[in-house]
Amino acid sequence: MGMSDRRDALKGLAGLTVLPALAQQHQHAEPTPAAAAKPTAKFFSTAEVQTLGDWVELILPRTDTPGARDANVHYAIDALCHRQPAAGKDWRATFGWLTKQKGAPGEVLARIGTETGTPGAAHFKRLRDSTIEQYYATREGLQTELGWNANTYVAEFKGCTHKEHQ
Amino acid sequence: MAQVRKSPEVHDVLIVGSGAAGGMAAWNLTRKGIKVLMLDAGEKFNRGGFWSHVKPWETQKKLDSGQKPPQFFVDNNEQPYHSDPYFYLVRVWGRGGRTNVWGRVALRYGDLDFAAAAHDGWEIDWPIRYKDISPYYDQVEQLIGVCGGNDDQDSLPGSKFHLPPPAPRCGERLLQRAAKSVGISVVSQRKAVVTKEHNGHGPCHYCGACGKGCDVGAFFNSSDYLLEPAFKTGNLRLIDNAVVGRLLVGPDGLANGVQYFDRKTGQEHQVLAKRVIVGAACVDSTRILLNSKSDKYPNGIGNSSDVIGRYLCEQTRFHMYGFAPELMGTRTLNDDGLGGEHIYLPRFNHRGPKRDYLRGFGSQFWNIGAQPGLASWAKQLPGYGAGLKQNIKRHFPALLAMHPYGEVLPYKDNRVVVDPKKTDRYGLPIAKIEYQIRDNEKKMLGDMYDMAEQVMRAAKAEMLPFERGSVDVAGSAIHEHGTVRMGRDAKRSALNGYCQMHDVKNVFVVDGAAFTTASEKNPTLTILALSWRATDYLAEQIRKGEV
Repeated sequence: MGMSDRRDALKGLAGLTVLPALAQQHQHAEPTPAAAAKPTAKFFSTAEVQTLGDWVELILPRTDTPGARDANVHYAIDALCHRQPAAGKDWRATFGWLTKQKGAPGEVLARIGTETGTPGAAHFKRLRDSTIEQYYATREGLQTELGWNANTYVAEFKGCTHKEHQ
Repeated sequence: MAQVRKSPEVHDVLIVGSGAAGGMAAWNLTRKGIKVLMLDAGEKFNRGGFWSHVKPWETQKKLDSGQKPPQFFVDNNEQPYHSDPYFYLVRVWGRGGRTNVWGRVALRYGDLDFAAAAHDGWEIDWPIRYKDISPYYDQVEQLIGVCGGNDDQDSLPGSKFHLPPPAPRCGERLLQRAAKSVGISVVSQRKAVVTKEHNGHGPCHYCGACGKGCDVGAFFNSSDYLLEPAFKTGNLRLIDNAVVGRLLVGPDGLANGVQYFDRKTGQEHQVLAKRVIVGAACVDSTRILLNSKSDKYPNGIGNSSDVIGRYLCEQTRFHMYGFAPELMGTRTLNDDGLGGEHIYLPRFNHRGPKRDYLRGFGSQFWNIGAQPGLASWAKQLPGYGAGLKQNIKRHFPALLAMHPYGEVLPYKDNRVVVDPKKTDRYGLPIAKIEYQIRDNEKKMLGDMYDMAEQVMRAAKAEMLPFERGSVDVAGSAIHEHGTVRMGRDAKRSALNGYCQMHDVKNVFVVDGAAFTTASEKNPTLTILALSWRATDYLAEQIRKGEV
């Protein structure tokens, strides 16, 4: 690089207009929680959604933290089916299959949860996967249960502070 | 048919595209007093509307209420391309292009990369060496701010201008230690994120949501870091929503302007310029050049060598996950950091025994630790009920991840062509991508899997299942290169070492298309350096009256 180029570079750096102190302007107020509107059924009937709530609660139950029903996972699945016709078709089949089985839901899950390659195994997988996907995207699942409290303003990122890992 | 709107003004320089390549060209030329017209296919993204701080549980509610995040990515229905086999093409039309949402990894190429072909004889050599570009790396890093360590090596040249690197997360420390135990070095990642105030850009606040666009502009994006200063010189004019179709050619065989279409109205325009710089990102730049056919250039402007469109290279990539036993059940920490990894595994396979394949690979490590989006791995844990819930919680802080990237060699028939039978909404042929990896890449993948598994095993990771040899769909790295490659021989390359067309001296191509090889590294830092170097050269040529 020649001297003239180097001068150009330095001139450019010096001339770079200073943008406002963005970090200082930037505020990270926690968003106001939306009014806790009670969810409504959009795809399944109200009674069906309540039944679905029983099933998802078996997958991720209330312990010392909220369970899938507390987190409205059943309504989230209902809303997904409403938005995505393909999901609705699959879920209609799964819901119909589950509710036709003999025995209490817990007994049905105990049976199909160990099967492989059967229709029951496929429906169990859909129920389980959907419950996990929806629950861990909720405040109850991600924040209350797992303790995730990120995506926020941190003045300094300290990384790993465990002595044994240094 | 609507009349073409022709502007009589002849611009000093016309730049197509506003991303890293075009943005750098505009910044460098305008500060030298050269008047620039830039055509961008989109609009400025409103930083205030980024969803960087929308929590996962708020996203669907906002969507349901009719709100939308910025629409960064081009809808393929709007501007189609086709590919066989499938190639995943990600395009951002709008000021700053892909730098609005890029991965920010800023690695210098070294002579291991620039002299690769000279060493192994595969295809043509880069016409430049590290010594030619290292001053520009220095300048770029000082301008945009790149954080990183003082831990360079032969495959990863260092810098004395790095901003402080962020501290590693726990999982990253464990992987670094594990890699060291098997003789593999893992260094601080180099990222174009300002970890302290730099040239007026406020520092990162470690929210980890860089992929949604930075609401404070704390990582390099062409719009804030290059275009805004260029506007302030008074020498830059930019036309939004200008989708370029072709370069126009005068009777002297030089480019004399550009045809573009208004993205909103479809109106065709022509603007004139003495010099044209193309920086629309590799595939779109290639499409524009190949569609710039004329009597003088029947197979596209500057393509007497028939290399334009050929030698498309990307990178192979896969993912390996596990859990660190010593982190299981520990308290959940805020592992966001910069967003993405804080460590990097540079290429090392050029040392030691000779391999049965050419070139090399490195590895990235994003998603380590407590991260949202855990469902993909949580679904792989067995059981249900309270036991499953407890097990997921136990694993949550302990996720380890490796994402190796391998170089794909340039092949003549890995290419972008334009298909006259399929046209876009403007009546112009769309791009068709023909691309596949070959034996060399498959052999390298074997080594990549061995390396990743060795490091994970050394960390005593509880591994998630993986399928050896599986690889992300082509295009997933979003690092397209090589289709307008530079070289010394005009019969085998389209550009010289200054990104200037051999055939058409007033046309420059400054994006990834200009690369002679892909390497295993992320290309943006090198694009910026090459574009700066090319436009220094162009400005000097203008001063001398030679172009």
